Amino acid sequence: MDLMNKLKILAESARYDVSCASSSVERKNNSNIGNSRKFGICHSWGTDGRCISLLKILMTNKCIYNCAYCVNNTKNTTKRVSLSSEDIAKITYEFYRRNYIEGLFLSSGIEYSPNRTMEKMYKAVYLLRNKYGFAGYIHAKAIPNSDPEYIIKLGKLVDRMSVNIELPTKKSLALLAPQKSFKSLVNPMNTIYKAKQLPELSNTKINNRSFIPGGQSTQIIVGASNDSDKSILLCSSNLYNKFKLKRVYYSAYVPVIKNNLLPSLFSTPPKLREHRLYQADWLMRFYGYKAEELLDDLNPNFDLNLDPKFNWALNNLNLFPIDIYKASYYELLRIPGIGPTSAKRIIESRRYSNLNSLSLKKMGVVMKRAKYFISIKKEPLYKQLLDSDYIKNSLFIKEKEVQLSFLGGN
Amino acid sequence: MIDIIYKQNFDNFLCALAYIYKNNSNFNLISLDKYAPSFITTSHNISTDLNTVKLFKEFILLNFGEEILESFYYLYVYDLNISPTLIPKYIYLLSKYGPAYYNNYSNPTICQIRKLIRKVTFEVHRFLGLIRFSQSNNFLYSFYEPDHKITTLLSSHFTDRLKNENFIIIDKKHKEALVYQNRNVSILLLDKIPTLNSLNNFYENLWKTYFENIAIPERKNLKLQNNFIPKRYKKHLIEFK
Repeated sequence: MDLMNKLKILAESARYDVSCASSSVERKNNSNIGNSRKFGICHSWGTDGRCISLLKILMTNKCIYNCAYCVNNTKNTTKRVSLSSEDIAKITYEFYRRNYIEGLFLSSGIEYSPNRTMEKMYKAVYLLRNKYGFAGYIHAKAIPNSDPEYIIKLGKLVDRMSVNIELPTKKSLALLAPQKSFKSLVNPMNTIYKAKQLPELSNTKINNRSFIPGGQSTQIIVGASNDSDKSILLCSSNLYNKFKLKRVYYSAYVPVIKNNLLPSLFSTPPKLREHRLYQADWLMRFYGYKAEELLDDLNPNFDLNLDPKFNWALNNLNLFPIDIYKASYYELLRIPGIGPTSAKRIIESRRYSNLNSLSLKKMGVVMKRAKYFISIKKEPLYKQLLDSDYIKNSLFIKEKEVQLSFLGGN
Repeated sequence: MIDIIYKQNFDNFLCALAYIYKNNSNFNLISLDKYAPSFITTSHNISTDLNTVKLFKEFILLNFGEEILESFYYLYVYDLNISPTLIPKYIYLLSKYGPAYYNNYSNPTICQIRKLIRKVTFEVHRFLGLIRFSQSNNFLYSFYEPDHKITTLLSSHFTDRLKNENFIIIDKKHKEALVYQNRNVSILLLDKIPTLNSLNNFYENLWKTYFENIAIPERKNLKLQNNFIPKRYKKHLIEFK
């Protein structure tokens, strides 16, 4: 089979992996070609609106595992192909010098055994780094059940590694991916986390490159199992705390295979739910929220009509209004309609001038949401008593249109 | 009211700013190619004096810092219609309140200035990803049409990234070219846009194939895609051709 068809099949198999970040590593060109920028660069956007930043391919889609949700599972009848290390390195190099991509995201189905797969991935990355002198961004998958020494060997060459946990609880994992145990997924994360702390691996003075400078990430499927938003958020929050993950990605389940354990082939991916989870994830990472604050046993799932922060504010009306002249950065962030950028601007500007609702709007505060929760110099902007039902209704009527257009096809 | 007219180069622009800074009065700042004489204002053509440029740069760096000098450069490359009084007002505010005032977002002038600067830096960031090179005989070439005159701002990124290649990036709109040959960079002003042909189409087709198959069909959302890539940029992106 020619390269064109192989690439087509392997791109199709890789596209359900949502990670595309090329950020958080700043490196000058220390070899023949390529550098890496801390802010990350998107190079194109596909017809699904997701950014294309890395050449995201599988080395092979042959796989000995039969995870029910996966398009490459053993029982599926897709065509099976592999790319050679030389092909992978050459395509990456040629795409990169034309500025199509920011680097390589190499993943693989598990052929023969996890260790042999890791060895083959290492070969491809080694070739790219050494024969082609590639100094750009490389993201590689760590294969579950592979031995730590293989992970560390590959980790010395790449910028980011990820193990996809896919399902948030042991129960759903046992049901849908019986060959992967919770341990087999967490162990590689632990290996990476521990290795990153070793000075002989992470210190750039000893090594000329540090061990996985971009950290590790993972992915959780949303909507393949019966797990609630709460168990998903708790799972990510644990991963952030325990293994210092850089990112957890959420992927709305796209039905690809018929299976009685999974949603039917005619169901649509729960994109809005995925969006709410991302919002909550941002609240945990940049706004100082904890998973337990956002959801509890009474409400284990997000209200799809309201964003998680607004929902939280409505449930905690006693904390508002917050005075924008007195509030600290993290207190400002608790106000719906104020994000990190506008919070910083408020803190800068309030030293010079009298702020009012117009100037707040100019600074990027979404007054439609914020007006209920703000007071300026002890004077609340919204004079009536705060009533969550009233606020919810008035907001929902106005916001409905905006929400739908953002997700297009929904 | 006096119209201050500057020519299309950064040194001259700085001289104009220095003039405005020194003579604190009401000015309009207009570039020569956008200037239309009027009966109610008098005009003053700025001539370039390299000594003034040097002194003014040092003065700004010392008293206002690098960020402000950079902001002048971004305003210069913005190169689209802006209100002629905006930059003089900005200079006035800086001279009155000092460099920290640059962070006062509640001032409408500062807010507007920062919006313009953000447009420029955002476009630079976008084109770090959206430049597409094609292979010619022994060099890579790229055409693009940015809104702002940003070719110089792309230079450090690409010369580091492709340090062992020879390449040329041609801005068709502002008729500027960034040329990198044998590890030397230069910016050329072009009279005529050259025509160049791609030699090796194999990887272009491979890229198109990849591009078409990496998107998830069940999540198709062209509106979202269009939000990220404005139509005017697609002309030079081979995956949309």
